[in-house]
Amino acid sequence: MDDPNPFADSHAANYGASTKSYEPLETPPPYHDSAPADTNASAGADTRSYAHYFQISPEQLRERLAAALKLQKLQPEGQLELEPDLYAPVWVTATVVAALFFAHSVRLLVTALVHSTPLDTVTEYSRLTSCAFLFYAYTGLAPAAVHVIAGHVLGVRVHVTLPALVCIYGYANAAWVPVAVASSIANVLVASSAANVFGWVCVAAGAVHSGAVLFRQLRDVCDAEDAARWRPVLVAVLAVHAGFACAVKAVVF
Amino acid sequence: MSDTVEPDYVEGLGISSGNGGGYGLNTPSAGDLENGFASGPLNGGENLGASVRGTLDEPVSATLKRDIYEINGRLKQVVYPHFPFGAGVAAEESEITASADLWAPLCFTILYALALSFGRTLFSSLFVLSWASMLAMGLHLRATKPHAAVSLMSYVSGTGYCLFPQVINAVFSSVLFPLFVHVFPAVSWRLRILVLLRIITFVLCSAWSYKAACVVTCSNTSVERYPLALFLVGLGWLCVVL
Repeated sequence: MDDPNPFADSHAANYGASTKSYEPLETPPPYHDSAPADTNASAGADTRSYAHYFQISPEQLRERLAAALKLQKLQPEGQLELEPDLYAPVWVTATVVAALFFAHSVRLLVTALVHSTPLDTVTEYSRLTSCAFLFYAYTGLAPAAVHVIAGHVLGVRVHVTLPALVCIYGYANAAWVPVAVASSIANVLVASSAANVFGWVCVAAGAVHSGAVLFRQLRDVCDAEDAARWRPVLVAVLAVHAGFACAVKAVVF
Repeated sequence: MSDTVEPDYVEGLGISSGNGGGYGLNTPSAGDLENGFASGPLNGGENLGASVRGTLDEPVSATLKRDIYEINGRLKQVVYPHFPFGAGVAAEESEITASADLWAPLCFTILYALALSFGRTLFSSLFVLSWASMLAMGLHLRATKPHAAVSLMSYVSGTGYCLFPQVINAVFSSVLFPLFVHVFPAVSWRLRILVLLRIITFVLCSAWSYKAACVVTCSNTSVERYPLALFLVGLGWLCVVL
């Protein structure tokens, strides 16, 4: 056998001896950076693309929530466009879901305590997931539908971006939190025979308030010449909102 | 030919866990190398000590015991000092970056879902809800603090450790308290006492886990803290009503 044994120590020691010796290239490598690589740069870059929507100060959040609850404009006076944040759509909606679930479970808990009957827990848990799905689907899909229909189908030039639309829907949801708190208190006091009527009253209050926030924010977001084409979109927004309120009544109250 | 299979991992050469749950590189001493590599192949592995053989030959109980000690060591850092009535200890950013294991959060979520789904078909949904909560808390912290040098997995791990009080809450609420209330002769009062005990445990454990989560993740503003409170209190409330 004339072939060298690749596993022999001598072969391993002389590996590469017959090849051309290393000569440094005259041309620079394709990419050369004089500064040392920042290990956090890549991780920071991908989060920065969406993280700036969550950079909101507590004072600004408080002002916007107060404006939404008082039926005022979310942006300061004189400012046409809303600087969007996605903190409210995510966490105000989560608060609404938690508050509605809390209100309903308090009623069941009090009923169980008064009558000493066991809790219907599995139904209660499925109600939480249905409520979360309903609110997040509405807060995410309805603004996207408005954006696509107004901008791409009807060709209306609106002064509101998709994140700003989602932001408006998120702040509009804030109206459901006091409704949930009020219903949790009243559910304890109101007799079970009147619970259905009281549920409709709660849903109507929440739907009217959040619909008013939507109407106030979306009323004048387009130029005067596009106002005629924007009006049907506004009517459709309020109609879909009424349908959403009926779904809330069916799932939660 | 020897019948024994040499382990790839040799303790002392690789990454080994420290006492407090952090990780560090241990450099092997010359004696370790001599005993481990020189005597191993020659003696067919028969004279190898437990420290050189790695974890292949150790009993499962020893492995589990070591893991539990490690989790307990990390809980001593992260959760135990922040009990509502205790004096809190200020955490540093290094506490959350010291270790990012998901082993303890996995155990906690399994225990939480198992305790709450006691006799019901809720295990899978509660397990998914716990992990979704931890992931949401991690994404929220990553989004609100984009310039902090902490990875998403570190946040998920840190908030996962803060689920430990909720595990205690779930075990007490669903397993121990129902057994305890059976000592009362009046059936009508059993449910009332059970709910009362559950609410007391819910308040204590939710405050405990929220305080620990705020300190460990260095969340200072209400914008950063609120989602943590929402999820941890929500997971605690499930223990009351389920």
